[in-house]
Amino acid sequence: MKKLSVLDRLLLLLTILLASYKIVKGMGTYDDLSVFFFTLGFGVIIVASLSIFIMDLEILSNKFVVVAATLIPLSLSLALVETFLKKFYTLYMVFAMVIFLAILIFRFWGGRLLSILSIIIGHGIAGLIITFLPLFLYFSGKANPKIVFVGVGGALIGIGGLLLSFLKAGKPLLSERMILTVLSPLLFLMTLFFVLGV
Amino acid sequence: MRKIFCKIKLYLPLIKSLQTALLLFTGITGFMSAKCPVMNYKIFISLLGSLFLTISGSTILNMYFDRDIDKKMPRTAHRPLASGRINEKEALTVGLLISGFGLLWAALVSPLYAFIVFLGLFFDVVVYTVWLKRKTPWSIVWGGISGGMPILAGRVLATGRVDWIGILLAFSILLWIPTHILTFSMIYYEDYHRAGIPTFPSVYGFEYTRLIIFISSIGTAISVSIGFLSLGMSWGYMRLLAVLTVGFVGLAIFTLFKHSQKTNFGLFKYASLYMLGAMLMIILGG
Repeated sequence: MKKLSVLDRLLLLLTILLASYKIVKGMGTYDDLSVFFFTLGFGVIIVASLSIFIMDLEILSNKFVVVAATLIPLSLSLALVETFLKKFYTLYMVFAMVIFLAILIFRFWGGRLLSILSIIIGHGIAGLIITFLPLFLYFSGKANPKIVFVGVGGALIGIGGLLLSFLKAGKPLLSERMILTVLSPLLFLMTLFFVLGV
Repeated sequence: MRKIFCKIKLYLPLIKSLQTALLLFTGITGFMSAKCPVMNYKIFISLLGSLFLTISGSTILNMYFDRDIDKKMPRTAHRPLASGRINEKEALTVGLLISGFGLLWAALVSPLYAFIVFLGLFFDVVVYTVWLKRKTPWSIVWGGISGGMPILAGRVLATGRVDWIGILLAFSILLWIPTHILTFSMIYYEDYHRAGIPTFPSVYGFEYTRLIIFISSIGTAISVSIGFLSLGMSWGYMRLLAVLTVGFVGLAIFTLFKHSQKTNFGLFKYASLYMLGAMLMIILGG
């Protein structure tokens, strides 16, 4: 398996610092529940980046990492729905909990197909919300224009999620080496856009 | 001039620069945690100088007393004293002189601060290295107490007294030390076994050692969190600490059940970064 390069390590370190800065600095005018979800999302980014930094890319094959990584799009999308689509919040919260449990259960005790399917559904729906809800809010003028950065971050997390999901499914869109090469830059850019947008 | 440069180059590995830097960093953290009185550069430089000299001196003395066991372990056999590149008597003299200068400097700044620094040196060299290291694996408790002294010393220098926050911060280091040392002693089990040093894995077995590492990690997380609350850290820093703590405790639980060299080494590194991160947060937000 590919090993982390110096550039990868530098980008992971910057990712950790960026996400840490955001958690310490706070999330502006968002309410407590949204701040909790954003903290959860940035927190998983920090712990995941630290784990990759310490234990190299082999950690990606660990089942726990796959399950924990799902929390990034789920928590970020929950924060957005809680703030901007309040009437759908309960429904989406139930969906997020069910899909997270499904990912957890199928990853450890289910078949390969169910596991990948649940990951694709979870990542897919959360990714669509993170990408398109901010764009909609931006064009309709219902939120601070900087929220468009969250949409860009959402698109990047979607690309990363898809690349890794198809790789796990045995039908990679790019070679494994290429996917692992772009992972650190993608993680860094995604975090940068989220930090700028939240 | 070249001769002096060569000597310095030889002595550098003897002071374990990374370990010394980390302990110095905890001393700075203790000092900065006091918030008031406002930064006094004269005192701050004295803290850096005296702590650096004392820690470096005690490390050289440790290397002197451990030179025979260092020879038996591949990991340490290349060290200047173990490999015979430095004269033993010369190293002992340099170690005593540097420690002495450090203590003298500390005493000129504050007698109470100097006393705490002296306790660190005494527990590390006399109690841990000379007396207990070859007798019992529990010697690490004394190593932990000495490891907690720089942060307490820094706090004492800033506040002028021994307060419970300083003791709590030192206690956090003491609780963290088993995670740091025991994961290390599991990784280098064969080395320690060859040198005849009693460690937790060799005396109590790997299962028990993992349990101690887990308890130590939980204890560290709790005491650091109480320390943050006591220092009145902002919610932003509390949130970040919570995130790092969840990762730390999660990895400790994982290591308890998933036995591999990789996860063990992962916890060893994460624990170091966790403590470094916590110290940095205290400096920035204390």
